[in-house]
Amino acid sequence: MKKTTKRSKKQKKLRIGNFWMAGCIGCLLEIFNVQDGTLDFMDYIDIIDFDLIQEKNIEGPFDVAFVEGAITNKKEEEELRKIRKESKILVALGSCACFGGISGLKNFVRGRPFGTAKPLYKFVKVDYRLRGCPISRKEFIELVKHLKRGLPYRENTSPVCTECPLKGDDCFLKKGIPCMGPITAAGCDAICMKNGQACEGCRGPIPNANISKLFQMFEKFGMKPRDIRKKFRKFAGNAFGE
Amino acid sequence: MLLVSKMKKITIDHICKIYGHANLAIKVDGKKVQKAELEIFESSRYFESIVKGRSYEEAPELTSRICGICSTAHQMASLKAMEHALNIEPSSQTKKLREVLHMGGIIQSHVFHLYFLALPDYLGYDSAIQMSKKHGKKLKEALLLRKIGNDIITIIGGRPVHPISCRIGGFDKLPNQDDINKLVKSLKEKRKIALKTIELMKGFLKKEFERKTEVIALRNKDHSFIDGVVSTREKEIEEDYRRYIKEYHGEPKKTTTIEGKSYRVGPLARFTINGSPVKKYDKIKLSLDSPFSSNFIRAVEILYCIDRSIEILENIKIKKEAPREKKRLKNVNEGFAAVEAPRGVLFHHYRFNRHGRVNRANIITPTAQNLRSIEDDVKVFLPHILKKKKKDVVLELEKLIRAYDPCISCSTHFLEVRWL
Repeated sequence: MKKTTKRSKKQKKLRIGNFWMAGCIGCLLEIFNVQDGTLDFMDYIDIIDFDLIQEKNIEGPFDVAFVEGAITNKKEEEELRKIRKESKILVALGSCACFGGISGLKNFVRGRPFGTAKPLYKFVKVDYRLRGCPISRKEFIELVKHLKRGLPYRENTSPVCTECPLKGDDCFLKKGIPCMGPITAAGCDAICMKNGQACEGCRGPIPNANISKLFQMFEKFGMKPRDIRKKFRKFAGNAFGE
Repeated sequence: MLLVSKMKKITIDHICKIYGHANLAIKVDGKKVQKAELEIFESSRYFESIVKGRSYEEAPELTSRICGICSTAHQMASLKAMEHALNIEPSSQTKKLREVLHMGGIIQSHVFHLYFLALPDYLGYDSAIQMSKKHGKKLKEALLLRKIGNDIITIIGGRPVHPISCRIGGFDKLPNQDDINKLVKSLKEKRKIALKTIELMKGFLKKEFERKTEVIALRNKDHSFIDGVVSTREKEIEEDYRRYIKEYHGEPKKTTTIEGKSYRVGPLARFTINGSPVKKYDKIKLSLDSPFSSNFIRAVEILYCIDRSIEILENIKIKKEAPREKKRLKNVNEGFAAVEAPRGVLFHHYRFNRHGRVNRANIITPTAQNLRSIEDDVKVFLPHILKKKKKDVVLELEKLIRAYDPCISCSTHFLEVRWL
């Protein structure tokens, strides 16, 4: 705990802590993948707590704490509260941390025999969200750059359709394939559509999304209401409405 | 000194540098280890129940989320299981591309393990970040080698974590030929780093301790990671896995035994059953009963994956083809598949009805199978090292556990399943 990294004295870097709760570590791995060439990562930040790759971790204080995964038990809840106390900025990483995500699907099993998985905001204040399953590397870099300069970061509020390359008759909805693009927040570069899949809504809703209209549209495609509900809550819990 | 005549308890709190959160609790009585248990404090995520009631087409996408590191392996296994259920035979192009995609996953996982989780232990560092001053070049090369794995998955699957373009019966989007050619070129460049990795890991091969166990891996002639018959040392078990492998459901972890004993899966098991994937290393002296040999085998597997990917990709001409489909479902569709994930053999087993709704699912991950073996190893290994200082005992134990590359998020995905 006494050990501070030497580099941080020379240059002011963001002191970062990376944590994970109930999730798949995919989002943290995406952070690690940032080193694949887009930015010389270590020039911006000092990782002081990341128990995936290091043993001696410093327990704060952090400039930024990234937390992946949903909260499923008391122990995780306590840890989260501790992290919140120690850090200036807390970022929820990925759909599990923002909405409950796939970890949160066990909440919908009848009678909840397996306990619950709740998003971070139910317990502590979350300053920023990086949505998606997994997170978008581009958005992560963008956020770190903003935080480094001390600027506020704004979430993308336009729908995925604005980034989608499928125009006109190529549109999934025109073909009668259920696609969540119109109500899902952009920022992913429409990566699923570029790879031939319809949007699954992993990034959660945009503000004022017209959810009921899309619901009716899916019904016209021949989907049963309970299947549509299942589709809506696959990644985003109840964020698209009950 | 830890050696005391009375009962002694040791706990290693929060083992770092593994995928997940776990403790190791040990009870020592004199020289005998009475209890060694990996305590996991993550809650189960019950993927088997999540898949239930949903369409069979969603299973590959959902089960991929069991683990971010071996997401490709989970996808491959569930795609194969669904195709088995539907009796679809994918085209040879699909099979080849999937094999390469899967090997991309193996490369990135193995490199991450070797350089960022295991190597710091061997060189006496706390983490790779601290290694960067003295061994910066090594780490840069490691990142390049890992990137090639990620590149493979990105080009064929769409993105490195949770790939998108795979689908039951084929691909939603095929990679374009230019990208494949570029990939072959850079694979050839990175081959050197893989050779270096093998030399590096060879240096750490020591005969530290041995414990002979049963092993399970896919048996095949060409060392493929996604094809073959599930086998033990002597028997082929394949779909009969439930007759041989007994599953235990503790909260929150699932463990397995074969004939009442623990067994190993992973690089060691693959090497034991199929021999070295690269011919050159066939005659190398190494103990196949020591988990510490795994790291060397991982390095050899990286080289194999690169060579095999080059071989496949050089001879492939991408032609456009739609995924093969089956419109009419039977009343009961049941499918089973096993693939070699980076950490060992992975089972996916599903049953769904004629509306396509999954009503049974069972997934056995490699780490779940290795957990008992890790605990048994600790029991045998600990008396050998009890004379050392406490700090060293802990380090040695952690090294042993890390040699299995356990993935806790994988081992907590489960739900008890009753098959009727």
